Amino acid sequence: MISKNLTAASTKPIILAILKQGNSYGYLIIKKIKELSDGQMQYTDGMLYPVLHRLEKEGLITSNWTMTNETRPRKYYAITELGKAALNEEQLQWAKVTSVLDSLWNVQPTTK
Amino acid sequence: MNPIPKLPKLPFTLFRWYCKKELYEELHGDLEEFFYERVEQQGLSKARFMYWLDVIKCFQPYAWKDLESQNSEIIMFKNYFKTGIRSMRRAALSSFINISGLSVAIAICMVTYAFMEYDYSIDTHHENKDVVFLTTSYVDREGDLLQYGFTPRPLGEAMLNEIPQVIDFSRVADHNGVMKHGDNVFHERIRLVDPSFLQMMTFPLSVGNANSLKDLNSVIISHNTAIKYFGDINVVGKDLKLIVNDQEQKTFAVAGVAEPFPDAHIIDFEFLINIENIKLFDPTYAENDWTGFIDATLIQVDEPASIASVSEQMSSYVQLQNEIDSDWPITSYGFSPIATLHHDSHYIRDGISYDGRQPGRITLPLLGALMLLLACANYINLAVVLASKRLKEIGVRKMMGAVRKGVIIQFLFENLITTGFATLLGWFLAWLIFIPGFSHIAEINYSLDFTDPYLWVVSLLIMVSTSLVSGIYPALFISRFQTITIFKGVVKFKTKNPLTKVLLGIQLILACVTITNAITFVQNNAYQNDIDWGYNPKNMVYAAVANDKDYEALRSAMSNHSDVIDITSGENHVGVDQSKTIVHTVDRDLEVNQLNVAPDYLATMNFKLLEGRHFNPGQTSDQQSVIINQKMANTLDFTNTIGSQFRLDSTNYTIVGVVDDFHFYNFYNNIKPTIFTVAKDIDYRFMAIRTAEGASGEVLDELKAQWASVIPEKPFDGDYQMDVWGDYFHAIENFAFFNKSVSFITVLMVCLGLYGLIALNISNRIRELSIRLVLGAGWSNMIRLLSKQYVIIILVALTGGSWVSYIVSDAQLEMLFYYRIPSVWPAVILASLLLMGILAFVFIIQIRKIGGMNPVKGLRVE
Repeated sequence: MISKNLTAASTKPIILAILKQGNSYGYLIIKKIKELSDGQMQYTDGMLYPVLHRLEKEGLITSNWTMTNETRPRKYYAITELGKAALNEEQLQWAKVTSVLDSLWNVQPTTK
Repeated sequence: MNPIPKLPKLPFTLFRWYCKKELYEELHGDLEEFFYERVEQQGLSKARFMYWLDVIKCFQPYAWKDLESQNSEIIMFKNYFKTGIRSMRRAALSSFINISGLSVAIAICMVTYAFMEYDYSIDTHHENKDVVFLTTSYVDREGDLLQYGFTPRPLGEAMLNEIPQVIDFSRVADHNGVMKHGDNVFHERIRLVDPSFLQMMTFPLSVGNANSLKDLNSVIISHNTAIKYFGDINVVGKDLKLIVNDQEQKTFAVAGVAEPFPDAHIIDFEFLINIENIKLFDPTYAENDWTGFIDATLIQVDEPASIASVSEQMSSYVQLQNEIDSDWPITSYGFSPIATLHHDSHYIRDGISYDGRQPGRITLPLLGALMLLLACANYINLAVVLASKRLKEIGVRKMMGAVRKGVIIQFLFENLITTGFATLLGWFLAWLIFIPGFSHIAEINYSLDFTDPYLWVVSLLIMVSTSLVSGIYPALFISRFQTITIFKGVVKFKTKNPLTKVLLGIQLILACVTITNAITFVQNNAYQNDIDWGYNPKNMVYAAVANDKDYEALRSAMSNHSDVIDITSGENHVGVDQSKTIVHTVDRDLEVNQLNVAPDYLATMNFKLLEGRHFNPGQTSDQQSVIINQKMANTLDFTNTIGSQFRLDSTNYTIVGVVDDFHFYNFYNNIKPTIFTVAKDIDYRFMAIRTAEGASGEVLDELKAQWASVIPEKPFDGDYQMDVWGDYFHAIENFAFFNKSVSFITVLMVCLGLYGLIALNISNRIRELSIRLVLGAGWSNMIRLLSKQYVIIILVALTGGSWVSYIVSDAQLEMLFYYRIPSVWPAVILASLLLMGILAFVFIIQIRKIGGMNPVKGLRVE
């Protein structure tokens, strides 16, 4: 199971990336993350919605209520252009972090 | 087809309660989807459980409702709060009277709670408190079944060996001795116990080992004793020398120091030594002697319920005891658990515990209830009279749509604010003034423990119940008015509300009772100060000596002192020490007190001889003579008392004199039948000196000086004879002070209530009074007008109050003192007159205000 801190830190790029693939709502986003992480990242509404609402406030995503032929209205979220730019920035930062970690983990220990 | 599973109701309701409206649909939609998915995949139970978890996980600040903007009830109560505070500020006098009265009443309830909590926790710190029992014996004395705390010496061991449910026992014996360490020499009480005592009872040690009690040369001492002798508690291994009767000496090594005992305790010790040392005190002691007794036998059973079975197996010991010691036939054995021994001790004679707080357990709760009643009566009276000033507010509220229920809730809520303030103030009063004061009077160390959850629960209960009791009638009364009648101005207030009269009457009765009580105690104290003790304790000093040699040495040293008139002695001494014995007549066995004294003792102590003669001088002639007190003579009821005989043990004694009854310890209890016998020289343990008038101080100083010179190695143990009752007079002074304080508070509350009532009545009738003044109404007219509604109720209440006061004060005196003032009627009459004077004073203060008033201002009101 991935630690809570790491999960929290990666919430923003993960949500933006999922929404870049297509509009979605809370339940589906949580399921998608669970699928992609093989159940290693466990989100709940309590964790997801504060981030979604913050992103919406920052203009990175938008929302609208959609009525399908199912029983209840759903609030779908879509990524904005600003959100896409923010995702690019996040990707660069995470790539940098990954490369630093890779280079550190691939270095052979030196002997005296 | 399976029915659609339903969401669990409780978490769903919880979610709806806390979730913001704008988030509800979105969040709960997801929770629902997860729920139905889980029902399919994992089953209903698991889905329900997970739904619970989801609801709890979503309970976060971002999802919470903004309570103030969302909850109309909260807005409503906020509004009530504001209105309540404004009303309190507008009616400052009434609010002051209400809050001060209620806070005093609540403070007294807190005192009561803390006292009861203390009283019921006495000796409950022992882990085995429910399985360790004091064995007691019941003895039939002339038809009265008396319970004693002492038991035959071998009983405990026999029970351990023969009754399977008894798993341990310890004997307890208390003896006096002198303890010495260096220059520290004191008379002390030594407690002798079996080593199991410290396993059965919970007395943890700060230092040392509890098992060392098995060693006959070890002593375990209390924390205070360690400080007293050594100034430190790290004293294991240090020596203490025990001197008994100036003959036996033994050095003990300190093997342990107990932690300070909890405040709420009675059973304790200063010095604890192995009971095998008992022969130091009583060389003839035989532990298997069924005719001999031990101060206490504690037994431990395997479980609390086993004591019933143990009781059933005691008949053989009753039979054995009665066969061996026919002088002390017992009816049965009883058992009192340590947990409740303190309260049981009220009925146990010569036990290792005692109960001196029974009056407090009765008086304090009654007092708390009485004060609450007074304060509630004040509140109801003032609220009803104040209602006329709030009619328009009520009209507006009703016009705006408030129903009667809403108005009732508003007034109850306002009352809750008042009682809330009063509760806070009451806590401070109790904490800072009442409990320290009561602790001082009752001489116990207790306080409010704010970490005690029950204290909070009790406070809350008192607050809510008081607010309901005092607020419900005013709320119902105020809310009943119709809007239309209010605005038409046709609402008629009865100036003579019957409930107000009844409550005022009750208050006056209570005030009368407390004043009478206070006066009764003051009068009773004065009476007791003048009661003849039956001998003359003035101009007398005494000292307890270790043996006859010390007595003779001191007597020689003191006999030449110019202020010494006479010196006498005895094995016992009135007010200090006496023994019990059984007197056998032809048809009766009586338990009586015995004082074994020198032949000249009665004359020197100024006992009043009613019949017969004093003992003849010399040791030999009256060895089988006895002088008895009047009570004993009445009990025996011989045709000719002088010359009659009775048997003590196996010896016949002849009555040669009868002295007047005398008081031994105090005036609490009835005088007991008592006999005086002639002591042998070698048995003298007390010296009593009759001094010249007013010279007892000098003689006592001289006695101490001679003591230091003649027997410097022993601590002085003596005092004025007037002080032999110890703290008795101090205690009854405290009783009187307590009653005076209660009376003062009660009268103050009643006067404040009456003051407020009259003030509000005047305020309500200000225009009428102003018109009367303008038209030339005089003082007498005004007094008649305003007083007529109170005069009758005051007279009726004082008449009824006098009877109630008589009954209460008489009952209280009877409960406390056998010897008391002959009648409480003078106190009742004095109290009634005093109360009438106080009420008249309150009334005149208010009437004077009208005299100084400008009628024009009165007519401008509203």
